[in-house]
Amino acid sequence: MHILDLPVEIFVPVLKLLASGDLLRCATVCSQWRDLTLDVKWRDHLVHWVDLLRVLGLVERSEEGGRQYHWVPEHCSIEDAIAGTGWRRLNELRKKISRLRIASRLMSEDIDYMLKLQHVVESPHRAFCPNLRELELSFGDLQPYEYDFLAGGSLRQFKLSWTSETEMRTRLFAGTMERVALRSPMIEHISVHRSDFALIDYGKFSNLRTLNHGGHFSATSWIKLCAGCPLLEDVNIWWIQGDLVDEEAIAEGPQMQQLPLLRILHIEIMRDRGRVLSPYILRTTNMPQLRVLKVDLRQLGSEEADGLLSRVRSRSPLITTLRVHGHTLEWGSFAWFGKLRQLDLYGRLSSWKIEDLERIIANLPNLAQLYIASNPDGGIDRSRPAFTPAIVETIARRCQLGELRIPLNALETPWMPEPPTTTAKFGKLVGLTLDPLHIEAKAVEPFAKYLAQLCPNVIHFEAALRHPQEIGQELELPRHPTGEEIGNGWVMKTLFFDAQRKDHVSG
Amino acid sequence: MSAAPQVTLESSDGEKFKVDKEVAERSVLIKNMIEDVGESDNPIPLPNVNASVLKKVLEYCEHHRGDPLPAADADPSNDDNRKRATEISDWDQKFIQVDQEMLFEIILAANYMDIKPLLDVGCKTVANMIKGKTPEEIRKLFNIVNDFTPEEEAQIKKENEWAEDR
Repeated sequence: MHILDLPVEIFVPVLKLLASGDLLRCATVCSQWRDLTLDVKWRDHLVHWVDLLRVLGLVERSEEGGRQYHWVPEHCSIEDAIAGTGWRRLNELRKKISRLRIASRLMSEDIDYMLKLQHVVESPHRAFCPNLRELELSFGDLQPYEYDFLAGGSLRQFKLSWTSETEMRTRLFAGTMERVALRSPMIEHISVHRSDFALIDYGKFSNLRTLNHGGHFSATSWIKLCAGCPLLEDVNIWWIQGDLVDEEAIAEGPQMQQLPLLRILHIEIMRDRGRVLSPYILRTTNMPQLRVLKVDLRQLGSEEADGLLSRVRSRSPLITTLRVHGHTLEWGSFAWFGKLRQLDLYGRLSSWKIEDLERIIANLPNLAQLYIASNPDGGIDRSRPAFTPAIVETIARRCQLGELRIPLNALETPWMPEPPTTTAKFGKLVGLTLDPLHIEAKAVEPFAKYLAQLCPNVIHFEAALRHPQEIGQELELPRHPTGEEIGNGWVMKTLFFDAQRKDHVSG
Repeated sequence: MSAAPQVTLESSDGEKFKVDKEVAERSVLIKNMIEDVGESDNPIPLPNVNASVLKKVLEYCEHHRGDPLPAADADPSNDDNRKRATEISDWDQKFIQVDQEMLFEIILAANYMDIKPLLDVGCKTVANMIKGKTPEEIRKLFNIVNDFTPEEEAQIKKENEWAEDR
C-alpha cells in the first residue's frame, strides 16, 4: 500500500498536524498533495492580508538579512488585479478562509485595496469571507475604514487593536462595531485593545462568552453588557482611564443585574476616577458561578469594603481566587471565602494583626497561594505591625501553602535565629517571595540560613532587600556581589540556596 | 467460575481471534455491533482487515484496555494542539515502528474500526515522518513521483509562501 492510496479523509488530518512551513513543502511534492495541502492552508491556517494581496499579484516579497519585505510592484494596480486571473483565484479562496489577520505594518494602499474589494463583493450584505471564524485586526494610526464586510454569520472570534483617538474615528469605529454585531451575531469571543472611548455597546453581542476589553469602560457599558450578554463566562476589563464616570447611570441604573454563567471577572483601573466602577459592579451584579475575582476597591473605606465583600461572599460562594487592591481593608474579611485557593492583596493594609491571619489560615483549608504585595510607600512604619519572622512561623505551622509572597520585617531577628522546629517547616512551600524584606546587613546571612531550614523545598525564591532606616540607602552586605549576582536580592538568593544545598547534603 | 466475557473476530482472510469483550470494544465499530445484535457466539466479520493487521490492532487494544475513553474531538487547527502533535507515548512509539505498508494498513483499520486514539497515533507518526524534510526527501521516503514542471513548482512556491508573523 502506498501513501497516495490513503483516502483523503485520513490524509487531510495528517496535513492538519503540520506547521505552515512543512505544509508548503508538501504542496510541492506532487499535484495530488498540492490540492489537498493548499486547501488545508487556506481553510485552517491563519491567513494574512498579505497572502491575499499576493494571490492578486499586488505584492512581491524579498528577503534581506533574514528579514522579509513586501512591496507593491510599480506596474500593478488594484483595477488590473481585479480584472485579472488573480481575482478569480481569490474569489475561490476567500470562501475557504476561516482565520484572517490584518496587521498595521502594511502600506496605506491596503486600505484602498480593501475598500475596492468591498465593492467587488457581490452584494453589500454578503461577507467577503463568509466562512470566517476568527478575525484579527491590528491598526496603527491609519485612516479608518469599515471592516465589517469581511465577515459574516460564522464569525466566532474577533480581535481588534487600534490606537486612534480622534472623535471622527471613534464614531466610525462605533458604527462599524454595530454592523459587526448585526452581521456576525454568533461572535463568542471579543478582544479589544486600547480603544480610547466608551462607545462600544457589547450588549449587542448576545452570544458573547469572553470579553477582553482594554480602554474606556463605564457603568453604562456594564449595564448594557449585563442586559445583552447572558452567556458571558469570562470578563477582563483593563486600562480603564476613567474620564467617563457616569454617575447618573450609577445612581439610576438597575439595582440588581445578573451574569448567571460568569466564572472570571477581572477589572483593572488606571486612574482614580474610574475606581467607582468595581464597587458599582460588585454592588449590583449577581454572579453565582464566579470562581475568579480580581477587583480594585481603593475607592472604599474599610467598613464599606468589608460590607461589600460580605455581599460578594454570599452571592458568589464558589470563588477560589481573589485579588483585591485596597488601602484600608480588614484582613479578617477574607477568612469567610471558604473555597479560596489563592488570595492576593495589594495596597496599604492598615491592620495586619496576627489574629486575623490565624483566622484566615484556620478558615481556608484549601489556600495554596498567599500574596501580600508591599506597602507602596516603600519604607517601613514601625508603628504599624508588619509581617515578622514569628508570623511566618505561625503560617508555616498552620498552613500548607505552596506559594507565599509577603513583605517582611526581619529587623527584630536576632543575628543567629534559633533553627525552626520540625513542625514549623513549610513542607509544601515551593515559591517564596519577600518583597520588600527589611533587614539589618549583619542579619542577612543568618536569616537566609534560617529561612532555608524553614522552607526546605522552595525552588523559587525572591527577596528585595531594603535598608531598615532609609529608603534607597545601600545595605552593606556580608560579602560583595560576584559574577552573575547583581543587587541585594541576588545575594540573599545565593545565600538562601547555598544554605538549602548544605542542609540537603548534611541531612 | 465465570471468566471475562469474550467475543470472536474474523479477519478478511478468515482467521479467527478470540479476545475479551473489553478489549474488542476499544473499537467503536465492534462496540456498536455488539450492542445492536446482542452477544452471540457467532464471529464478528471484519472484511476490511486482514489477519496480520488485525493481530497488530488487537495488540494495541489489549495494551490500552483500561484507558479512559478519548475526550471529545480537540480542534487540530488550534496552535496548542499542533504543538502537541509530535507527542506519542513510549509504548505507542515502539508499537508503531513498522514498515510503511503496515503503518498505512493500521491507519486504515483504525479508521474502519473506529479506534480514535490509534488513528491519532498513526496520523501523528506520518506527520512526524514529513516534518522538517525537503520535498525531494519526502518523495524519496514515500516513493512519490514528482509530476510538476519546474515552472509549476516555482508558481506554487511564489503564490503560497507564508507571510511570516508581522
